[in-house]
Amino acid sequence: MPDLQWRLRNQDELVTWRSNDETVVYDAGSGDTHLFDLVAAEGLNSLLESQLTEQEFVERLANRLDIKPDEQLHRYVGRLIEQLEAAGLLETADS
Amino acid sequence: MPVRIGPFTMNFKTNVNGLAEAIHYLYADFSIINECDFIDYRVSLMRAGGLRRWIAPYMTVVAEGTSMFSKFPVNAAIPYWEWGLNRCIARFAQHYLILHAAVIEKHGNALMIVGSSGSGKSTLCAGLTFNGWRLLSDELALVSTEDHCITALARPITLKNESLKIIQQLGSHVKTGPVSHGTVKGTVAHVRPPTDSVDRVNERATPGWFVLLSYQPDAEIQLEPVTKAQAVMQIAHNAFNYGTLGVDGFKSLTQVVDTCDCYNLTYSNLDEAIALFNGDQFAIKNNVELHEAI
Repeated sequence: MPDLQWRLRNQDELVTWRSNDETVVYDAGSGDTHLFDLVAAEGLNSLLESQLTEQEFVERLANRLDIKPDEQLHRYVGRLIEQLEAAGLLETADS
Repeated sequence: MPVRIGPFTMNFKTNVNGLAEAIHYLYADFSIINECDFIDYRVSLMRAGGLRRWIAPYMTVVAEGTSMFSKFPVNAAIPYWEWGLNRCIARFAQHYLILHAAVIEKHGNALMIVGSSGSGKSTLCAGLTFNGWRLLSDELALVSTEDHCITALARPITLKNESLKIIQQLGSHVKTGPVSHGTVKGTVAHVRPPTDSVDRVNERATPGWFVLLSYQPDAEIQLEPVTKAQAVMQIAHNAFNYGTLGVDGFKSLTQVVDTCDCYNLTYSNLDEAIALFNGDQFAIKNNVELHEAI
């Protein structure tokens, strides 16, 4: 079974505002507002570039943050995907 | 009775005994306008007719043909009148971003106090209004979606339960209207806004500070900076029409927060809070020119 591809649900309707290390995202599609820390915001930016598998997401984020794609980052990305999906921001590409 | 309230013209109508007198007292300093002038909102508070009025009388507040509150008891006419006006403005004045916040001003800078019901917002607002600050509103912050300045909407300050006694103790210059007992929020009364705040209602203010307020009995006063992003999240939950305005609401909120210093404040003692806000930390933030209302 191929890896799931993840993409932002309302990509064209997301409006972002950054203040220091935090980013606030307004989803005009749902009307919801979300708060991202620095790392999560980089994750969001990675997904704004293209849809990604979880492995690609880890590698893209590692590259953006200039860190190793180690087990800790894998676990972080797994949790981030769950949180973004629960927040209605993320869906699989075949949805 | 057509009256100008901040940027709005309103026509009041009631058939409830005593309400007109109470409104005259609380709005004594407001401008009565010409019947021929354009009226923004027509608001009425009427006693319901029919047989029921003899059994269990109730009243209804209607603004622009839309029910704001219905079937509330006759002993709560004045609180529901004021809550009805709030709801009317929050519903119809969509050219502002409307935050659930008390707003006061000094040296042209607005201090916006955000908090849920029971947070001590109106108590602190009244305390500061009678100690050197100008009242813009005790309930609704009207943020321009164009330049993000705050439009004044000085109206009577709603006080509940113990806070009423605390504010009355500030002195005889605090003019209180009739007291309503047994409302959904307990005992409620209104304080007449200072004449100076009514006279200067056309002076807008530049956003200066956001204070996210929490009242905790016996707590030491504690002021802590909060990040602007976290402030946006909390204020968004306390905005009446943030969702309705959509992207414009988000952009207005983030831009107004961006110009402000933001804090969490926990307090229990009004005198301590007044001293805090009259201290150096909340002195002039920016040299600003006063803005005439648009």
